[in-house]
Amino acid sequence: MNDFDGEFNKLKDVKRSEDARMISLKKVMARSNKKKFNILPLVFSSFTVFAVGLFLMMTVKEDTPVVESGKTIIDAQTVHEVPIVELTPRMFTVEYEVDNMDRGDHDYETLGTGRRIAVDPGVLDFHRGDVIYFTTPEYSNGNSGLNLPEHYISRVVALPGEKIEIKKGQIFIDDKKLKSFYSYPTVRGRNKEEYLKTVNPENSAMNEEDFEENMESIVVSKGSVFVIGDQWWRSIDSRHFGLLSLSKVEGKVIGYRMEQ
Amino acid sequence: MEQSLEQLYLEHSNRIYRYIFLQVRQKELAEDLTQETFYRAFKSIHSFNKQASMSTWLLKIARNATYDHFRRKRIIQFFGFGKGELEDSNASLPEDKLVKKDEASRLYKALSTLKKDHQDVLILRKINESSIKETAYVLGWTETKVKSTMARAFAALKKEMYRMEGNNG
Repeated sequence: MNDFDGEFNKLKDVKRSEDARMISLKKVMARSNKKKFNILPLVFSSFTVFAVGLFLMMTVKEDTPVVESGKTIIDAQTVHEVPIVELTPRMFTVEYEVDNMDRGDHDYETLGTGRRIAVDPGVLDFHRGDVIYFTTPEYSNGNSGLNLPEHYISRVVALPGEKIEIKKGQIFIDDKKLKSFYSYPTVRGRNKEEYLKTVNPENSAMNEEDFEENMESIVVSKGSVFVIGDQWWRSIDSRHFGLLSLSKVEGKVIGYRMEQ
Repeated sequence: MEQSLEQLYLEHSNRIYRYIFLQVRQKELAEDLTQETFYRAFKSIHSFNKQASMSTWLLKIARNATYDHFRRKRIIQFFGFGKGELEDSNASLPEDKLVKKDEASRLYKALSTLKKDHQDVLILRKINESSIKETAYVLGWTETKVKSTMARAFAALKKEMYRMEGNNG
């Protein structure tokens, strides 16, 4: 094992200019200080959003489920902000490092941030829009670099008994258009128009066609759900591995654990 | 508090920079990711729980920041880590070259041809001199995986070095 020790030692002297080092320090300190003032209102506002959301969930969800009219299903009550929650005894916390739920704020990507995700294993029935934590089903697309983690997070989009179909990047449930922030593809939270405006089409990760994904209809069987990660192009989900059996679900993702 | 964050930076930033540079091989990008690392670290410094040493904790954040960067660019899938970057114009600026024409630069080149797991473990174990336990922490692996990957990485590196030797006469 001692081979190349000399060479490795030489690689230890990576040159770095003193100027660059000090400039970086200034930038980091400036950025950190700037955020200092912002963090408090941020925590407060997200907490308020959560409190309001919770209130709505308790009151509204029971009485007025998702609005269904002739042609559309509207889920306006699921919010995309990740709430910050206090742990209850039955919850557990996990770290997550996949960006398949990223809506522009590194949502649910907690690895290295010190944050943890709170999961409630006690929730047994799921609603559309719920985010769940589950054992990643066996899946391979022939890419050896895929390297799926053992557990995965995605959003429940279709429930048992429902028929789901994707036409030109739009989800349909039982032939009704699903209207919500998660019913079409986004890149870091930006939709097709917003995204294509900001990139150079020559070398962008997504082009127009990629936003117009199609999937043939599939009926969700009993005991399973259909899940999709919010950032479609970065996500491996039911579009790839098919229906997710509820036996693989470890729990409902409640939000980020409130920091003690 | 501010004073100590600054000290933290002065004490650790060169090591973090080196770790990142060996993976991305571009000076400016390495500076950017070093900044990102310390920014993330300062933001969550209160959650640093001494489970690992400060420098190992920072390495883990640096690893994630670097990983995020590559993931964003989808380089992982298409080129394998780093390979694409070596040909990058920035990388051939003279000051970015380490030690020219000797074994170290040969090793530097050989490293870039290895798969990401192998690079990860070699850089941490041989250049950063992290222990097996620390390496496992940074990479989020088990210690067994670190050991077995290390053995394979070494074999792959050796093979590559001999292959390059063969090519250069």
